Amino acid sequence: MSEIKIDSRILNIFSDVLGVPGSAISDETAYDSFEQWDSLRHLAFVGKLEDEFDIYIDIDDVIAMETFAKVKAIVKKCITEQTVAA
Amino acid sequence: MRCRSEKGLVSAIDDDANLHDIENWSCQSRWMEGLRNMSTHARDLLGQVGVGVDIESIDRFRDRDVLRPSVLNKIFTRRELDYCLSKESSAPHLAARFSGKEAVIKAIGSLSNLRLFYNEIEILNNDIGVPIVRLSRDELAKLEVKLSLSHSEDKVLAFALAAEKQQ
Repeated sequence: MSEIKIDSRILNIFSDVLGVPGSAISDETAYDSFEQWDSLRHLAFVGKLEDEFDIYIDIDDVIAMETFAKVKAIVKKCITEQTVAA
Repeated sequence: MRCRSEKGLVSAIDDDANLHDIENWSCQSRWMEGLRNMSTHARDLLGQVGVGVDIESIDRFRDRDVLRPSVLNKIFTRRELDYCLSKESSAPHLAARFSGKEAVIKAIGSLSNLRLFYNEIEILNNDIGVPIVRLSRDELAKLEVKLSLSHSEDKVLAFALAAEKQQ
C-alpha cells in the first residue's frame, strides 16, 4: 500500500472517529489543543486503526501519538514491523 | 496558591505584632513558631495528597468504536470487563470505571510526573459496593487511593484522593 493511500485511510478514520471534516485536520493537529480529540476518542481512534490495518499499537506508542503527524509515523512503523514479522 | 497562603500568613503576623507590648514578644514568638509549624505541616500534607476528578457521558460507552475489543482491552482489566459486561446495561458501569481511572490518573499525576495507563488501574467493588482501587505498578505500593463514583441518568462522576499509606 502506498504512503499516500495509508495517509488517506488514517485521515478518514480520524475524521470519522472524531466527527470532524478531513479539511479541519493537518499534521499539526494536536491532542492537547484540538477540542474533539479527547482521551476516549483517542483510544477509539487507536482501536479502529488497529482493526483497519491489522496492527498492534503498544501503550508507549498510544501515548506518543500527540499530533496527527506522529500518528501517521507510528502507524507506518507498526505496518512495517508487522510486515517484517509476517 | 501555596505561596499566596504563606504571604498571607506573614502579613497577618506583622499586623498582629503591632497590637502587642514589647514584653509579650516571648509569648508571641512561641505563637509565631506554632503558626510556622502549622504552615509547614499544611505544606507537607499538600505535598502528599493528590486529588483528581472526572465526568463522562454514559452514552459514549454505547458507541461501537469504543466497544471494540481492542479498545476495551486497553482500558479495562479482565476482571473489570467480566463485571461490567455481565450487567444488563454495561454502559454505565464501563463509563463509571473509565471516569474513575481518569480521576485516579489525575490524583496520582498531581503527586508525581508518573503517567499511569488505564489498564494499570483496576477498579472493583467490595462487598458493600465501595469502589476499591488496585494499582499494578510496584513503585506505587506505598500509595493508598480512595475513589468515589456517582451517576445521573446520562453522566458519571468520579472523585479520587491519593496519599501515602499510614505507617
